[in-house]
Amino acid sequence: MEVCGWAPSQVLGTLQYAGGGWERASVRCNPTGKVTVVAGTSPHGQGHSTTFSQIVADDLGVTPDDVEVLAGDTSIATWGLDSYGSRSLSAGGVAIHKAAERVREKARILAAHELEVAEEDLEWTDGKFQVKGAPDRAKTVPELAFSAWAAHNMPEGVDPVLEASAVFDPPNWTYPSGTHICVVEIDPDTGSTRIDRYVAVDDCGTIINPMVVDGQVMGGVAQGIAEALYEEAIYDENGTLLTGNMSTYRVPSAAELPGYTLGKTVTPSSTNPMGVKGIGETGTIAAPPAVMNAVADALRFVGVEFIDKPASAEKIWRVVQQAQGQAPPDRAPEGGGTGAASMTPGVEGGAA
Amino acid sequence: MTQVAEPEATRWVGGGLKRKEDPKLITGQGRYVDDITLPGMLYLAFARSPVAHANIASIDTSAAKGLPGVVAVYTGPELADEWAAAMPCAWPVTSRTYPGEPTADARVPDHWPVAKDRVRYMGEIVAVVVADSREHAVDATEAVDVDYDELPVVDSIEEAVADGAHVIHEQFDSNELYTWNLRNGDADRVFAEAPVVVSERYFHPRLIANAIEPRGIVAQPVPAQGEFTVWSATQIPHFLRVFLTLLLGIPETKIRVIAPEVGGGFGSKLEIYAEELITVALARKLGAPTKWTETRSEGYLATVQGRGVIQDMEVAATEEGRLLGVRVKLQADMGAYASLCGPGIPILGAFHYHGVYDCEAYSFTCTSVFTNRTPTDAYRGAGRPEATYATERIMDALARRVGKDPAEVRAMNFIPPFDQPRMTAGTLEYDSGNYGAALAKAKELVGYDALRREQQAGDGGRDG
Repeated sequence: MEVCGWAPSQVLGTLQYAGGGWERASVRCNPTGKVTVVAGTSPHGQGHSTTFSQIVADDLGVTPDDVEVLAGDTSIATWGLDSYGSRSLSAGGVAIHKAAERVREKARILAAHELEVAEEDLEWTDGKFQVKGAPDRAKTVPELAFSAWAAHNMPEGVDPVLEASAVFDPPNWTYPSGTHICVVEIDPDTGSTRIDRYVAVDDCGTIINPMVVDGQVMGGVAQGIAEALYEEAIYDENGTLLTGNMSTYRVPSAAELPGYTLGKTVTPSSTNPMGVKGIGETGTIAAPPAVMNAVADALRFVGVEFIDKPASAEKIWRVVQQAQGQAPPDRAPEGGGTGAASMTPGVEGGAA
Repeated sequence: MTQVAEPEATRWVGGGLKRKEDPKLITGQGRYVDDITLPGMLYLAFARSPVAHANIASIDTSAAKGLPGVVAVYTGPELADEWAAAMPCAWPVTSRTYPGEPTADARVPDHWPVAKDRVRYMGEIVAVVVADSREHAVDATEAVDVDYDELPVVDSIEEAVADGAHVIHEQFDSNELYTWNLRNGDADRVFAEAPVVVSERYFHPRLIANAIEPRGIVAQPVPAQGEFTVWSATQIPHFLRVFLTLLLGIPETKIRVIAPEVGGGFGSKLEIYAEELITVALARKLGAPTKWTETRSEGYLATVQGRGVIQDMEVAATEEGRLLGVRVKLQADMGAYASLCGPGIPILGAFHYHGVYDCEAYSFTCTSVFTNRTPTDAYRGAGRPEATYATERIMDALARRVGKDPAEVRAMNFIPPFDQPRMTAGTLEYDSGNYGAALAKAKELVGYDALRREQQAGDGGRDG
């Protein structure tokens, strides 16, 4: 389980954080019907353009290819609080959805005007406004975008152009959750750990794009496995970083990482109207305990009482040797402790 | 666009579309900060401290200034007038028992982009070289001659809190930034009366984020207008603009910040960095475009690191393994200064060390300290991975203690399914959850019961 969404602003204030937690977006229907989304979040690899385009495509009856997402420029996205803490969808995506709904509501007024019916006589079906009982009388949002731009025949009190902005300040955090189970096999002679199976079942509420969600989970789990088995920045007593490059700070490659079996449950969030929770951090949250519990469970069979991160081959080898009363003591780990040992494989669940 | 999962009718949400942004990224057409070159551009490189704690006795930049292509070399005192304020901490957590009032002032020591008279971690900037090429700038940093009078080094959390520890920031009486508490229920009574108490200590080593793209910044001034366009490999262009105004005194309306393609961050680019401030300040001072790109080993020293936490984690439970209380004491390593959000990171986990499990009493305490190491800040998850790690490892330890399967102990302690906000022991309102469903599905996918049988049979351990 994690706390996501980095909001609400008022609560952040009570925590002594200087900023807020809202997010802002605008949605603009260009004259030819293509849609520009301006997002206050700032992507750095997550796939925001894809995810946000899907939201707007449904809201306005266009395709994701019709939607361009602009972000990461203070002169274009004049307001925004950027991307961190799995907030881009649960704060920013919801703001985009709200703005798109406002655009659609304005389009509804125009549609009723052009079709010469009351707004209540229109229904939003198959991505367009249809006159109830007369489905061949219909207007699409791109058609209405052109007439709103030409502005030859606007209803009384309605301004030209089809554009809207919205701010969303979530009333609560979101709480994605899930269960990760890791199965490891450890070679007691070398201390090396092989991950035989890794199952991740995540619940991030409503899913916009399952491929993007899977990508976030896989990348995060890889980083979490790295944290559990490999990575550690080590300083000596002089404050010198001993792991000063990639030959000593061990970032695992694809060769060290397993395939993943991914599953999902969907429990919509009560925090926002889309029911979304966020998926950016779940992998690095769930994987370290899942892997370490599996390692500890395996080592338990050979009498090792405890092992801390990272469970490198060297550390495992040492605790096994130590348990057999043979090895020189390990370098004293900062804050940590290790136990005693003998050997077999392990399986463990880390419900995260 | 390739559509992998056919969406129903006009519905796109829920469909597996390939990422729209990828064609340009995988064909080399994405434009990152380091791809930007402007006419008349000057290149920056930094001389960094090779020691963790020292007074700067003297700096001689004359040799560096004489090298080919070098335009200027600046020390900390020579740039002191550029800064309207010291580097920011946006989350100055104070000692308190939340949600009560602070019991002390925030401890945010001045942190200048270029050290003025003392360095407090290995990699801190002591001088800036500006040259006509990146190579000339880097070469000249090696000719900057610095005499260091070394000071005692606080090399760990234990050392920071030890009796008689050297105090890194003399204006404070210790290396402690704050001690922050959260209490709900009578944890001391619950632990005293509980039939089962399990305690473990976990250490989270510091981690280096290793975004594929290192940090980088380009600043383009329009001197006649006092305007600046800034490209930075950052997660937070909007915050960077605010802080460029606050720290450099440039009106916000005169600054445009662009985060072009950014190759990962994982929290390490959620920061206002010295290098960003210096690059913009020197574009202003020299009236020319300036650029800096980080090297990987430079990033290891000077990009914020993650984690660096010691946890003393305890749970109280019944003989059956039903959770009664959670009590945790953290010690967190902030490094040499209070970074943008660093002091708040442990607090992000403060409210949920009981995770997805119900309990009646909850006690959290965190003491954060300065050490002579690179500042820490957010790293993917930021405080929450640390919390979940402690929760889930101690649940396994509890299961071992009461002689049950860990999945069974988890299932019996789950908060039952809920779809509206629900108050928890850690005083959060969880939004919704169905933890048993995910556990059941994961057990099925992995073949849990069969694996446990194999393991117990001890068949030599193939496939655990």
